[in-house]
Amino acid sequence: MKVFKKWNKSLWTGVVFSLVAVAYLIGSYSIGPSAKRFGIFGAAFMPRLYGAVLLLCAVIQLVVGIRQYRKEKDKEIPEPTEAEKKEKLLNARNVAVGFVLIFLYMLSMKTLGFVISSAIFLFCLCNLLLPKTKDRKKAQLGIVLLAVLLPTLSYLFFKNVVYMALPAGPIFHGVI
Amino acid sequence: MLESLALGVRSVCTPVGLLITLLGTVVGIIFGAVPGLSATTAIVLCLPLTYKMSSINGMALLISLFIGGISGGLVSAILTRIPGTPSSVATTWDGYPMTQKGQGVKALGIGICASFFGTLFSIIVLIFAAPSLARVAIQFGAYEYFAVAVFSITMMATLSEKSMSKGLISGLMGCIFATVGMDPAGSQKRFTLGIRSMMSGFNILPVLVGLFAVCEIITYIEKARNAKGFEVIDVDLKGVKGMGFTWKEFWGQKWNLLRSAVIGCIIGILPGIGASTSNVMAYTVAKKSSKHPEAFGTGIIDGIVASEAANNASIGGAMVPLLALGIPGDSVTALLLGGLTLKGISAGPLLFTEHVDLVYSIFIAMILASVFMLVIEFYGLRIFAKLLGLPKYYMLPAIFLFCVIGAYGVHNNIFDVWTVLVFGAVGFLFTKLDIPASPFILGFIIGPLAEENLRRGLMLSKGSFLPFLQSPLALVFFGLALISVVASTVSHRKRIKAQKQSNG
Repeated sequence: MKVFKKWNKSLWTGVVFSLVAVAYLIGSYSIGPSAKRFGIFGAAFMPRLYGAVLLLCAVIQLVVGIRQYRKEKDKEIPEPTEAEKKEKLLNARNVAVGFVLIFLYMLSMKTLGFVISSAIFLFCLCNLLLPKTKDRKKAQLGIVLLAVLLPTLSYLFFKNVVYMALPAGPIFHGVI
Repeated sequence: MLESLALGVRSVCTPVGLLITLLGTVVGIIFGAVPGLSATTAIVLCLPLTYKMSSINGMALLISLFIGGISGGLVSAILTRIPGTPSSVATTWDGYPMTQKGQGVKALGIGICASFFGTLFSIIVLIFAAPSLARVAIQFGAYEYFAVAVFSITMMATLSEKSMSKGLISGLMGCIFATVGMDPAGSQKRFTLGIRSMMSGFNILPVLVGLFAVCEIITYIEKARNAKGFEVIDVDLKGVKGMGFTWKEFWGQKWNLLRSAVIGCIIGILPGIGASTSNVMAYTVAKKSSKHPEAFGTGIIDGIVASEAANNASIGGAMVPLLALGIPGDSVTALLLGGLTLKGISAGPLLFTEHVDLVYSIFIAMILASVFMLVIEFYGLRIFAKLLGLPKYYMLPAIFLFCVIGAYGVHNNIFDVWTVLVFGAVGFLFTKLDIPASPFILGFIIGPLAEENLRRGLMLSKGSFLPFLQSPLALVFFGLALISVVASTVSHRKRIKAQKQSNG
């Protein structure tokens, strides 16, 4: 793990996109055969071309990254302070919580319906975004109002004005 | 042409049309003014509203959001030194020093007028250039369209300021995601992973929402609870009246204004680069050709005029390839293309023969929106300044909700909502690795166009590449592509050299 700490962005880009390119190229071999009239320019032609060029670009990034890594290998990087470490960890945790929230929201939309799932999601996301410096208790009223009113009003607006049916869910089906 | 323009006036100047354009401009200015939001976010948010509108009213709304969004960026750029949109970066360099000197009103006034002039200039260019280009483009076949696509793809590299290969990686990823679904020439299934919804590929709207809006929210979440930079902005505008500058001062900027508008317009026409590049470029040119370059950055109106005239002139410029060739130059025009597609209309040369009323209504809506922009910004400075204080922890979740509605509304399908999450993750990965997102969109749109026309062309020529080089029009675009590659390589090397020299 300590090795990764010294990896620069170019090195990461090279590694990540080399893997993507290889996986994509392998995937392109699962494309079925095209009609004879296409010759070698069948359905797999462009994916293979894109995959090859992506691999080339990723290798360029790898080379750039390795050169930079060698230059900076012996450089002394000051150890982050406890506060910096804590902040970094907290930021990473926030991102993970954000993605999990969005994932759960999308997962629950069909089951709970748009209004309920959105209200829960908005409440959680607003609280996640609320800066530490703010008076949390004072902000709750605004957050609850936003979480309840916005999804309900948007549901009604899109259903009755735009005629776009958002998922009602079994609980609210036929109610609003 | 006059007849067609009159048709456009009749279509847009209805009570509903005027109200939509007015509201669109107001919302656009608000989104442009609030840092972190942009014209792209405003359009993403309002796309679902266009579902039930007529195509003319729908496009009038999107166009006015575009114009308002680009112009609104100057408010926060001048008052707080935080550019509301990337297209107002250069405005901060002289705008904020003027505010510090107590000349904030003058800076805003000159910025608003320069924005208005830039937009109007580019609309005139658009009205004359787009139909002519469409007349040429109507003769385009597979060879020519492939050449145009190659030229557009070469612009991907120029979009990445730091690294050309990162720009290409982003663009290629766009092309790669566009290959999911049925192949455009032979209807063969590709990378569908056995999922039925993936047979028709990814829709552009959820891709854009994920890549820009979700990524923006996640990036904000990352720092929101710890950083101090997200506090609300308080702006004092006591005694704000009028535009704050004299006619003589404005007349003194005529050449700067015209030059910057021309730069903005040309840059807007080129696929891949838009207002975010043109404002910096026009500022640099204005500084180089000025008699007092040392005064730039200290708070002079020349810098604001250059930046604002150029970024707004890019609007009309970006609309030229969109309407005439069906090629979007940036993420905003890609969304406008999405808006047209949602209405079952394909942009391109045929638009000028099959939907003349729509094309000229777009022109009229653009003129109207720029007039509204001038009036609204003139009278509404106080209100827009107040909007800078809206807390993000209310705004971003609300915006996300509308983004989800927009994505769901494309096919009334949860799959599109999942697509938003996937591309949000892709966008966040790009941000972490310093990879620009704009080339991705270009690749996503141009990729299928290139593939379809290359394969169609090769079928026509029975596998020979020679006819691609025998078409004069195709040769012009291949030549432009070559120039673009050489120019961006040279400028990239120069930049690296300059960086090395400055690092000692």
